[in-house]
Amino acid sequence: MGMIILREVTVRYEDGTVALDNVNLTVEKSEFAFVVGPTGAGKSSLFKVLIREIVPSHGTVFVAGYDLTRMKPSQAPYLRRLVGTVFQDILLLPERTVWENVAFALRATGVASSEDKREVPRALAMVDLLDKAKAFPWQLSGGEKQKVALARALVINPLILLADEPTGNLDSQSSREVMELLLRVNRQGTTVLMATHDPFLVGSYRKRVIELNSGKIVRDYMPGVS
Amino acid sequence: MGWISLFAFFLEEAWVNLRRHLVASLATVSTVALTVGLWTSFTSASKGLETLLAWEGKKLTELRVGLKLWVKEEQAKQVVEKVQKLPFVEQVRFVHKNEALKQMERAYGNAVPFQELIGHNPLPHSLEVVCRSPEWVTQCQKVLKTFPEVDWIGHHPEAVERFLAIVNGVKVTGAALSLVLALVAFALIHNDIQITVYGRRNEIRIMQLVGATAWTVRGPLIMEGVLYGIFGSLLAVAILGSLMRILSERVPTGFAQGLLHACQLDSMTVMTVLGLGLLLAGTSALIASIRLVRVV
Ligand SMILES: Nc1ncnc2c1ncn2[C@@H]1O[C@H](COP(=O)(O)OP(=O)(O)OP(=O)(O)O)[C@@H](O)[C@H]1O
Ligand SMILES: [Mg+2]
Repeated sequence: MGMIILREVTVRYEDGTVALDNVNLTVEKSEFAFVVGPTGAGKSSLFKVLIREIVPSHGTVFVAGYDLTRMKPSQAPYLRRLVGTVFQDILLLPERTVWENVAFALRATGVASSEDKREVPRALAMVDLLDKAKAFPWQLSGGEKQKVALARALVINPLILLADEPTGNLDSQSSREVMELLLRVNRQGTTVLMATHDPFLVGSYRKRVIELNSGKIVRDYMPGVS
Repeated sequence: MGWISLFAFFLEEAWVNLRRHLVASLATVSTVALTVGLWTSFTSASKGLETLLAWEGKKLTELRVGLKLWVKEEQAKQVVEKVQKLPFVEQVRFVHKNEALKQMERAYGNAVPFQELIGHNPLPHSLEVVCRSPEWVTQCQKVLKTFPEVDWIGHHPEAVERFLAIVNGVKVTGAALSLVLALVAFALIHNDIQITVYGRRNEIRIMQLVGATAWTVRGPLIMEGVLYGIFGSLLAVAILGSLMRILSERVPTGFAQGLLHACQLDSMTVMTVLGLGLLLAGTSALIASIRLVRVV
């Protein structure tokens, strides 16, 4: 059974905009897939469905064994502990150090602070940022900030990682670094979905590409295979 | 333990939030202090007045009942027995007309030629009736008037009623003022929490994304209210305590001193103030956090 399964999913916003239109999609455990498409195609809406921030107006969604369309709202937090997220707007807490930003996720999910000294360095090591643990966000480059956000998402050991244009504001060098980190996370068994506008990045890796347009999946392929 | 860490986390976050809008926080703490302080002073003042009534106001429960002139000592004793059986009567004492004359003698000295009257004492026998509480005096009076042997009843029930009215007035005013202030405190706390929710929107967003439960998101906000409660009550206790000390040095002995003494700021009162402050601020913050942080 897939890690992510969407059947005939339609998302219609209150103003009538159809963001996803009868989408069928399966992503297996430990897969890496790009989600591409022009602006307004429905990429972010897809990710919001996967963390149950929005509930589809039609269809069924299974994520990590949870049936999201039948899930009570109060259960959503437990789903989100299995689905990590990083976004283009990085959202670090400016008054806290890198270490504190990462530990914040542990506290918010009820992990004892005695775990910090083991879990925080492990997450920071995964994104090659151990030496910046005491730095504040304003002392970091854009790429480094995104890595901190990544460490914060990873510190609670999610099964799935959703990255919504994580390289959107980064130069090509930083983009490549973040991309390498996502692949590293994927190699360790985490299912990764990455939405991006960057065709060059997509073209550089032989990974599955899910292409959306106007809320529909118009192409779903492995480069060089088809 | 995860719970202890979570509690410490709430406390740290709440402390940071509270300091972020320090001026608003100080206003809130003062209002909480004013509310519980005022409530406590009014309640202890009315309690003090009631205590005083019990000590000094014993006479207020006492009626002097004059019997008709034709009532003989034997008949009077029967009346005593009947009155004794009334539910609101604490005790009855028969006062012989000779004793009454001696009392008058003592009160008026030689201004009246009492000696000449001894032979034919014009006074009636009478009763001293003590009611169970001042509230019962009027009722007792009504019933006694229906006795055929009773001629007159000497007492000033207005005094009792006026006293009780004062105590009641103190109670009602205190309750009304406290209620108004409690509403003000609620509004201020709601506003503070709203400021906090706005200032913390990034924290809240991150918490929701990493999978914090709604109550974990609300935790720091409720804790902020609890802190307002603790600081507010401590301030109230400090102010009340020093006010008592200053007053007890200045106020002359007598009624006011007695009242002050009856309103002692004992550990029970301190606990009540703390409890009230916590209840008021904690509940306000709880309501605000439920209103402002929805499950998403
Ligand atoms: N909250 C909302 N209410 C109404 N319409 C919305 C809302 N959010 C998104 N939309 C609309 O839904 C459609 C899909 O938006 P979505 O954000 O999913 O696209 P996207 O592929 O992520 O675009 P981009 O590449 O610009 O990030 C768009 O037409 C957008 O305007
Ligand atoms: Mg988007």
